[in-house]
Amino acid sequence: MTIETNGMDRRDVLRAGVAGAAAVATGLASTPAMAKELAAGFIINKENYDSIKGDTFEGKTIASMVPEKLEWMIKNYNTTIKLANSKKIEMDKKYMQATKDGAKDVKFNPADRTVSGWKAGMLFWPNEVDPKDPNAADKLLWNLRAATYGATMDLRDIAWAFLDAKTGYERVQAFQSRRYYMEGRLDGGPVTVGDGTISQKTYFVAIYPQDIRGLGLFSVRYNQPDSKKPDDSYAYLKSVRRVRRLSGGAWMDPIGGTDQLYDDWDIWDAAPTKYKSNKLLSRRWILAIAHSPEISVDLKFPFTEPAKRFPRIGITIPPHFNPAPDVGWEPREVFEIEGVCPDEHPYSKKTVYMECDFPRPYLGFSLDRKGEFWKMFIFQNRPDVGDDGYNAVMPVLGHIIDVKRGHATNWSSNMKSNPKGVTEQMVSLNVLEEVATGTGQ
Amino acid sequence: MKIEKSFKRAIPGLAVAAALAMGLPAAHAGDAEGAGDFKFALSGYARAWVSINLENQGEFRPNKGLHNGVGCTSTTTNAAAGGACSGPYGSSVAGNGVGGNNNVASLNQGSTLLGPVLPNNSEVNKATDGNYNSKYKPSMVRGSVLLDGDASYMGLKFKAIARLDREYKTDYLEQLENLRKANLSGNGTSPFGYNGGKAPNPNSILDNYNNFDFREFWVEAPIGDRTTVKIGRQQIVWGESDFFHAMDVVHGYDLSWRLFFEGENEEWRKPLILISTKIRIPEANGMLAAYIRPGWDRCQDIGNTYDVNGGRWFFNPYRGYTLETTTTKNCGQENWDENNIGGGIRWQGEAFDLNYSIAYMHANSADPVANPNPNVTGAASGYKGSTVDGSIFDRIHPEIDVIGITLSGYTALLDAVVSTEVAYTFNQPFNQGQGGFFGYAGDPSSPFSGKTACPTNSLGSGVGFDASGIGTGVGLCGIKTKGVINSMLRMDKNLKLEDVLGTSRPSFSSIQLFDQWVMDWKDSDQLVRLFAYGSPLKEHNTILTAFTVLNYMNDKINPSFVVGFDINNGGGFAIPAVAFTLNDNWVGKIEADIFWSGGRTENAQFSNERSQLFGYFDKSTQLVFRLTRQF
Repeated sequence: MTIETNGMDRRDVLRAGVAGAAAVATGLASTPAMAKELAAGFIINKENYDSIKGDTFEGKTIASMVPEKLEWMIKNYNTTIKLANSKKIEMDKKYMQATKDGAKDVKFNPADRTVSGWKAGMLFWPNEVDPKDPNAADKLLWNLRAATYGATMDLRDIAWAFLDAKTGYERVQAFQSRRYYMEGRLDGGPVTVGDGTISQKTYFVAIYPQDIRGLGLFSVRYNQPDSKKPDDSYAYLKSVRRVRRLSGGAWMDPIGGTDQLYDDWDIWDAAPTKYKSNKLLSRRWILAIAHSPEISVDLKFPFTEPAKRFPRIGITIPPHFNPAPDVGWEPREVFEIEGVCPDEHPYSKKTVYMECDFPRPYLGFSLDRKGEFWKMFIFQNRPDVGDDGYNAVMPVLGHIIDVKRGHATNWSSNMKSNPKGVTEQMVSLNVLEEVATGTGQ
Repeated sequence: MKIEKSFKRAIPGLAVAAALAMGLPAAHAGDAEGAGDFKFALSGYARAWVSINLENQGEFRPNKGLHNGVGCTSTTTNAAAGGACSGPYGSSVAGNGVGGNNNVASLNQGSTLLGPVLPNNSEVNKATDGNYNSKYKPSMVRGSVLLDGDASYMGLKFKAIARLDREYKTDYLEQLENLRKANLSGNGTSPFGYNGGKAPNPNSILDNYNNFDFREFWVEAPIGDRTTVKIGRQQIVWGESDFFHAMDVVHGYDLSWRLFFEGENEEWRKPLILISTKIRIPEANGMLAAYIRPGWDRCQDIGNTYDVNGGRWFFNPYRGYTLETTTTKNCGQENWDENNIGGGIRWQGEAFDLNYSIAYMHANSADPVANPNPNVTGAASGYKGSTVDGSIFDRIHPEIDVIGITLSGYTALLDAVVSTEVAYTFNQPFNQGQGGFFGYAGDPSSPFSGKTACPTNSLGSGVGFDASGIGTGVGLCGIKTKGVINSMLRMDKNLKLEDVLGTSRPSFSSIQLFDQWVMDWKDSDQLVRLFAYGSPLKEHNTILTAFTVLNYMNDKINPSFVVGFDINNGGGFAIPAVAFTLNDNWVGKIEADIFWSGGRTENAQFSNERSQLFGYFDKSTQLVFRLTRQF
């Protein structure tokens, strides 16, 4: 059974349409003018939002596609939305086939909310998850374990820009990074690498500025069903020329000095069991950035020209941390999921809006321990074709905005799926020092 | 000034390159690509420091001459100017005139005038503007420019790091320089003469600190998928310990310009020319690393460098006293020859969620020991039959063999990483001879009092002055090697201080216990902690250190606090600091380097006042500002 759009069935939609027509005819409609279909390229901003929110785009009202917190951002932080026509995105056929093949083996245990039997592809067909299932949200979040990035992901040229709403660009921290998935691999090699206990391995090596250049970070994520085993984390400290093991319980901590927690990686990074509970709030349409322009980090420009080096961030336009106004937002159908964080987490709740057809987060927000709006997450995504032809969908930009402080840390990356020639050993602790030392290319 | 002739020509070019790099907007860590897959990146910094003394240092006080004994015999002391002597060397000087003739300092042994070892009061006064007060005076105004170049081509990686250091001669340094000259002039002669037979006029004190060096220069090549080989001037760091060195013995450190206070110890570790390799063996979940030091390094690259040329970081009470004129660093003989081959091998791996390593190294001892001149000991030769070039002793770094293991792992119970390191050094050299220079037990009130004789089987035992019942003291009886176990236990934890101190994220914090245990301990060996001090080494020397780093405003403001305690002897240090990240180009730091001696310090040179580790840094507390423009 499929979820009806925004909780309304087709008959309700028809009734609303008739009622609306009648209201217009009698002059009792709340909007002063007839709703119109906006054209692609129209820019929604705080000046026009209230007047166009009843208008439609691709047949859906603007208001229905702008969640409450995004509307707040439009009105309070000058976020603008350039309408773009939606384009169909299809995950790689191997990904979909693996989902189909594995469906019978994947089991969800309601007692502890863990899963078993997964090999590759999505764990659960999102369109077959019963919205009334009390574990619907957990199942959809478990799908994030089947990343849409491919078997290996290069986070090329990834850089976090620190931005203040009033003063603009502050500074940047730039890295090269690579993630190697040890499970769910669909690149023609073994689906699972190693002894089957590791989910993925990731390294980051800092390349700029000079005081962090050469710093290396390496982590191993495990795939225990209950997710209780923390990541193994290490740092190569170039200033003392040593690798140091780090405390593993950092998933709730900020990534360095950024506004982003490790848990905010891809908006939602933690296994669903790390949260006290998760709830599927709705299936709905939102405006989201699913086709960010090709270049996220323009290497032709130096770090001293951040607005040009990071062209998808509106660095020159106050508050300096929104998506660039020329980036298109298209209607996407998403699941709206709210998680209740553990008591020791800085957030009380986090909400994510992720694509219905495959696990790709677009938007999210978090509340602080007092229940007040704290952070807005706007991620720009883009389909990518790996070096082996794999059709992936990658996040290429993350706007992590602390709305209370008026500060953001936005990351940008020229992501690449399934880069050629990468082996498991190239993402390991024993190469961290070598990778961290060098040209940063 | 320490500079290789072959590098002098490079200085103008590097200065121009540095200026261009700072001026060009594109020259951050420049991403330059040339033909083929050639890649090049250049980064670096220009950095400045200002240090300000927060204490008055005793070396400038005029009553630091040890004694005035002219006219005294071995059985008399002089309690007042011109009066009769009252002890073998006169009494301690409490002010002008006590002990005899103000204008002459002497070591009197019988009727033999040995000449001045130390300046007399008037010389000090003349040299240093009279009762100079070093408190609140800048002790360091320093600038450095560093260029760090990386290149890669056809799978090869290249690295070159060069650094130029220059200091300004502050008034304080000028006073030290004058004090240095006064130490040499005095009565005109050193009891054992000077190196080369003639008292040299020391160069500018800035020669202690000005430097240019190609710090690193290497090429790294992959061999297959598992192996890399690196050849050239490089740094290798094994072991886990912070601040101290159990397995981190491949290189010495340059402690002459900032002691151990620069957080980036890669800046003061002394690179060596090495051939190193790493072989990854994933089947065994580990990696083999090995290196050879082929013996192509300069003498100055071997072992730790201290500010022994009478500079600001020479240990209390020897600031302004140069060892360079009566001792030499000798790297030319026996098992301290710089051309000897060294090396090491290490296996590191992972098992049972623990990271471990086991290693063996053959290296030079980091701290020097004194190889006393036979003129001092009366022996037939120096250590191991060597000849000694220094008129009093040579500073040597004998080779040692070290095996060690490390272990680290995360404990969910404590939410912390616990690490340990244990290293056994087979043949750690120590100096022998406790007590003051030519210690004599006949007068317990004398600062020279100490042992009556050198330890049995030491170089100086039963010969020379020792035969007359006067031990050489201050570690100059000879050298003895001992087995030593250096061990470390440490816990790292991210403290959740956000609600308590308003930090923006958990604070990386650490506490560490480090112990040096000298095996086969015998009091009769008279081991000393360091030559020039008569204070005894203890069987256990244990230091507790801890630090925490706080972060505010997205890591723009980062206060930190480091503290250390000498558990056995008292004394310690503390470093409260604040680091600022202003933007991509500018970072700054303000810190206070605070010492306390626990009462274990020397107030008189060559005496037996039982100084221990932190007594060396008595009166060295200072405030430091550092500003870096990076690119």
